[in-house]
Amino acid sequence: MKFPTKSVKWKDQEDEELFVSATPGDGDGYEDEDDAYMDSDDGDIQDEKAHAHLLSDINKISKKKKPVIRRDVRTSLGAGISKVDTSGILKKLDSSSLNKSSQKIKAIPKPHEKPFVLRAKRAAGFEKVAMEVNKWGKVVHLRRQSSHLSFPLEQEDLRFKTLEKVEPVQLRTPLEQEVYSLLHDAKLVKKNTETEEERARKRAMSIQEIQERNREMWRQREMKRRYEKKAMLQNKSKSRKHHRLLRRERLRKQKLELEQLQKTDPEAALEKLEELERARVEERMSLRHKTSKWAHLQGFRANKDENAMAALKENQRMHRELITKVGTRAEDEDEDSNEIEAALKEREKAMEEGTYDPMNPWTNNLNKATSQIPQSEDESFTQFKKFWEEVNSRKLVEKKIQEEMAKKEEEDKVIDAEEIDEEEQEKEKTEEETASEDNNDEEEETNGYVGKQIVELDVSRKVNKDGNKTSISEENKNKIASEKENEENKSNELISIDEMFDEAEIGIKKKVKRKLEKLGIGIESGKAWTKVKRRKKAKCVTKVESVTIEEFDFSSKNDKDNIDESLKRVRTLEDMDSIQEKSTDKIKQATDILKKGNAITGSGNMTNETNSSKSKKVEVDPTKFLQVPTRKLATAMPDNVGRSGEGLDDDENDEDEDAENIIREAFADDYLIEEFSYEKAAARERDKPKVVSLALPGWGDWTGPNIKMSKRKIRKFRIPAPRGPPRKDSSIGNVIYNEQADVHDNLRKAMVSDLPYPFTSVKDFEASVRTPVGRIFVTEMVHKRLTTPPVVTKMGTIIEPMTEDELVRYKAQEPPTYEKQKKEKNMKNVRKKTINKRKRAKTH
Amino acid sequence: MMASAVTEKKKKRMRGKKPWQKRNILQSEVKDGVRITEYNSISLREIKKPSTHIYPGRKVIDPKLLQKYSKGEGVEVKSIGYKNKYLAHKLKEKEKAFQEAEAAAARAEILLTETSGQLLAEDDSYTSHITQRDIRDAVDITSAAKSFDLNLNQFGPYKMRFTRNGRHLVLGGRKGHLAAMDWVTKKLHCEINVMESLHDVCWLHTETMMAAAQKQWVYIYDNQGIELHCLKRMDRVLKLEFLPYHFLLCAANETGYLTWLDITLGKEVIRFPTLKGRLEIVCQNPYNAVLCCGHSNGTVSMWTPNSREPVASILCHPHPIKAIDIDPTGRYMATAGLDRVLKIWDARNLGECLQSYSVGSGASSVKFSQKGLLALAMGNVVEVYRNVTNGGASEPYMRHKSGSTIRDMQFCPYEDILGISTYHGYSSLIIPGAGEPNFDALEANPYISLSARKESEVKALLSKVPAELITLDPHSISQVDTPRLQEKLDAKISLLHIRKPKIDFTPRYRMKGKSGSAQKFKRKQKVKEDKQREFLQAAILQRDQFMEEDKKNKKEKSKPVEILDRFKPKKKS
Repeated sequence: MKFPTKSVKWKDQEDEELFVSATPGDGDGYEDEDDAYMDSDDGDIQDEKAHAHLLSDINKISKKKKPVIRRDVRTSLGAGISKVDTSGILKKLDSSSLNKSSQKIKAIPKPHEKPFVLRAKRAAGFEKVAMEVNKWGKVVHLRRQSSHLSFPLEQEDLRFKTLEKVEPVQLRTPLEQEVYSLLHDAKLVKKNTETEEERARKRAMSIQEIQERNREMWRQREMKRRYEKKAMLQNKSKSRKHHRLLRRERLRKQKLELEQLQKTDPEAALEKLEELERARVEERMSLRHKTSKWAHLQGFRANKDENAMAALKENQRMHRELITKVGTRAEDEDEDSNEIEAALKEREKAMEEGTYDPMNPWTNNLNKATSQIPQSEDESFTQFKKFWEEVNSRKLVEKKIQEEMAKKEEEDKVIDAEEIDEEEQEKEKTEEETASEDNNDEEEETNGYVGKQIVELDVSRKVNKDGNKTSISEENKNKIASEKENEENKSNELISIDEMFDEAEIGIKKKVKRKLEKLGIGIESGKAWTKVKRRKKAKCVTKVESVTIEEFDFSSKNDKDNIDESLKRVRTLEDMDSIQEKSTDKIKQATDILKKGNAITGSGNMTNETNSSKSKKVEVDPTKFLQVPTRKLATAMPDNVGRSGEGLDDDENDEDEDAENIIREAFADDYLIEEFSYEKAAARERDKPKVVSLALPGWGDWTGPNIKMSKRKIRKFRIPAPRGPPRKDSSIGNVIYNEQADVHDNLRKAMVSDLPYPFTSVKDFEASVRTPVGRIFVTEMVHKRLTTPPVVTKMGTIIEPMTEDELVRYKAQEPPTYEKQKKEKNMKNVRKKTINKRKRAKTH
Repeated sequence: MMASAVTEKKKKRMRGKKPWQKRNILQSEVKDGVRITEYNSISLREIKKPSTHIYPGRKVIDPKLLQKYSKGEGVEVKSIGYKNKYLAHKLKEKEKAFQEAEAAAARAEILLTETSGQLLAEDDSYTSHITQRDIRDAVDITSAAKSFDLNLNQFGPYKMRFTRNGRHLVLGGRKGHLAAMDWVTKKLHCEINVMESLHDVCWLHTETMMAAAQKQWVYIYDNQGIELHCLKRMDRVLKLEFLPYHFLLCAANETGYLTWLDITLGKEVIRFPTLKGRLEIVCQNPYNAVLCCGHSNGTVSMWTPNSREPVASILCHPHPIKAIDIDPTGRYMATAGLDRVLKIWDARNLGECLQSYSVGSGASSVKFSQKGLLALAMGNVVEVYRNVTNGGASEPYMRHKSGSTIRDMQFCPYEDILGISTYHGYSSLIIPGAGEPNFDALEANPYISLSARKESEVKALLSKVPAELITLDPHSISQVDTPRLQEKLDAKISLLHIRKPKIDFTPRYRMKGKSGSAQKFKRKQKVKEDKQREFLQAAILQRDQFMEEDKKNKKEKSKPVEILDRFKPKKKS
């Protein structure tokens, strides 16, 4: 007898029911019957009859029960023949009840696997316990956070207690009631009658709206996605061609923008131009075009391939353009330029013949020639020139209009102004004669642009273009000449540069004057000159250059410096009395400073030259401190000093100095300074880590008295000294600081050499101990607060563990967010796990 | 013009951006290339709703005052927050407490009620023309009593010293005259003749003890003139200094020896030759307890009892140095050279000369007062200058001519008095505004009672600073020894991350087909592996030992020492 019954016996069914969803169908009934049949199965055949009887009885009792059907499945019959009435059964088979029952009965789902069940159980258990424990989270959190804890925790609340809730006032008298009703009826407070539903309806959107919004959002997302993809691809792309195209496009765009800007906002256009110029300079610095792999390869190919040759030429030209310093006008003699020209010609010749190879060392001189070749026409410069022409013309028109207006209104004033203008022009001319540097300034000033050497270049270039005669060598000529030419040329044109010069000059001078008056600077001191740096472009001032003071560097060749100078020059215009003074102003200043310098450095008894040369060294001069200007104290003379009757000796400097000299000679201060610097050098040498050589005599060569080890061997086994940090006194000349003596070993033992736990940086740790806590250093209250122990236990009391009452204290407050999150996370995990497990079980 | 260029550059930067504006700017415009901005005098933070409360809370502290008490930047708690939020929270709390400490210190300034006075002359006269007699006639009787002269013709020239609270004075004449007195009440403690030449005198930590550098050795007397000690390790001393927080008596020798003596133990800390010749010009830096000596080669050398070499030497004058002093805050050092130049130096930023003054005749002694006045002694003239450190001095604040050449002088702490000792006596001069008007009774109390003195003596002894902590930067004890930290870290890293060594081994050629490539490779491999295994085993062993040691150390450290531990059975090692 076999039944489609459960194969597994459920031992802990109760438990299972807890976790597994209720199984469809009732299992218990089957089991019972199962047992019954089992019995009959082993049973004797004699009992067959009784059994049949029993069955019928059972049938009678529970008609709805279906085991009857199962009996059919029985295959083996007993050996003894017994009459079994099967008609009833067949009837039953036919009946609809059988069908019905067969429909209802389904296979019981497969029980879950044991490990899964156990896991689920554990998860549920964890959840339960976590809930139990987590309620303490807040309390624990606060305990751990608090800097001071005092036990026992429960302390009597001694605070003043107030009523928490005020009961509503009882309306007792009729008057009160009336007033209340009046107030109530007046409806001073408008009630919000809107229901929740209405509010929701208000907020709701129509389907179209939602669709519209969704579409819009989709579109945005899509655009973003596309853009990102494009950007990514572009970033990935390594195609040179692509990048070249990009660059070209960018340049084209910039050009267009510039043109547009020129029309709308000339100032901005100028700035843009400057930016472009900066980009050019940056590229020039990087020299990428010169050293690229491509250029290298072209060099090899150039012999055979004409295209490569051309490309190389183009590259060379670019390189030349980029590498040439703007504004360098070598003041070289004509010979130089001739040489260059010759070299160029030679090279061109070689190129034509096809024998030119840039990598060939024998033709190096041809290569060299190119590097010397001065800059040729630049596109940007021509642009610049055009632009300035436009600006100037516009200004001129404006000016004319203004002048007309002004003439109409006040003629007299205009005349006065013109007179002043003329005067200043005159002055300028004299200045031009004396110092040609000024020319540069003025030119820049006319353009209203400071520190822009391009302008000058541009102008000179323009001359070249206009004249159409000048060769490269001419372009290299002295600047003054070109500028003069330029002026002449310009004077022929509509726009007279002279006029513009004057105009701008006046404007700027006035501004500067005003500013200087405001500031009230006395710039004549030597300090102002110390910032002057050596630059190129020396001018006619070479006469003055013979005066060798470091601070006053006449070899300065930068226009910015010249502007500084011009600043000072303009300042002297304040007193317009003497033109002569202005023209020789610089020389005067130079002499002034020379005198001052002497006065200052005189006390050090050192010449200016040595001073300056020493200060340039990395190692600082120990006499540096001597340069602090010494002021005189109005001291009284003691009675018993030899020179009596000398009170406040302001007038007797000479005598004083004599005495000083005598003392100086007597004690030979130079010797002391020298001695000190020797001492310092010795200290430096001593503290330097030493080079050690591990070479041993007799290994690999002969040894003995008077035989020296070979230098090669010593060098071979030399261990180079580790480079330590720089000495702390390396920048101070007059100090020898012995760090080992100062921060000595005993002190270092007392110092902290470990970073305690939470700190990761030394700075933070040092900051955490920066405040002293002793009562000598801080106020009493602060001292008490800073030195309170973190845990205080009251002596003589029992400290009992926390009870759940403690939770009540914190109930009012929200549990900390992190605890909550943790809890939720846990719950989620548990849920997820169970779900996953179920899914897996189902698939099995 | 430069300014305009700058603004243009700025403009360029600002292009395309919304101009940033400070909230409390009233208006701002560019005029002649200079930006002129008008600020709201009150910042927005201050424009709060005026509090209507009767008691609007504590008074707001002046930020400048707060800055004065600032101890520096705080901890960046953010970076620590990742590791341990509880510790981070505690650190935050601590930071708050520190800030409150600063605020409390600033608030406590309200307790400094006294202000220092000064002399003001009429338009057509100078303060330096006001004589001591004028002042004495003008001031109240108690103040006038503080200005007095002592004529001591027989045993001069005199050296002198005030106690730290400025109440007591000791005078020592070259010819052996030693006298101690309460100079305010003019009560003489003792007066003896040591019957030897006396070179210098010095108070110890209280007024009950004083040291005298005599012809041969240094003696310690109590205030009744009873000889307590004879310090034979300090011989032929020219100059004495006492470091009050370290309880060290320092002596500078005729032959160039420096000696530090711990007076609490009577033990010599260190004694060594400086090799710099005769040491007579010596002073202590009250900020860091470093001794500064002036030498004849124009240098000032600084010494601590921890090294036989100077921690620093500074070339101050190209001539021999005649006098040296450091102001009580330890910020400025004044040196006077034989070149008749007085120089003011930054005492913390070594080697930086702040001011240089030429003095008519060379100064033989310079002294700072508590309030920053500087006294110069030249022959028999003493002059006091104000604002010497910031270069404001050109004329003397006060001037006094004494009868004979000045040998020594000192400003009296917490009093407007300058004491000068000459060849023929002592005189105290009233210099208004010289002394600190507010004294800290726990630090130095001029009106201290006997019991309080005893108490403070005990406390001072308990908080004695060890001599090892004397360095140029007194804060170095609260700093991390970074080189050692680096060393430790490196050692740890090197131990924890060991790489097996590369072994380059070429097997020997063997006959009978044993040097086939496969055989060779096998041999090579074997040797390689053997070597590497050996190395790694050793390394791991070492590392384990290291870790164990570390653990052991931690364990030992974690147990706090308890009082009853001494009754535990001793560990058998």
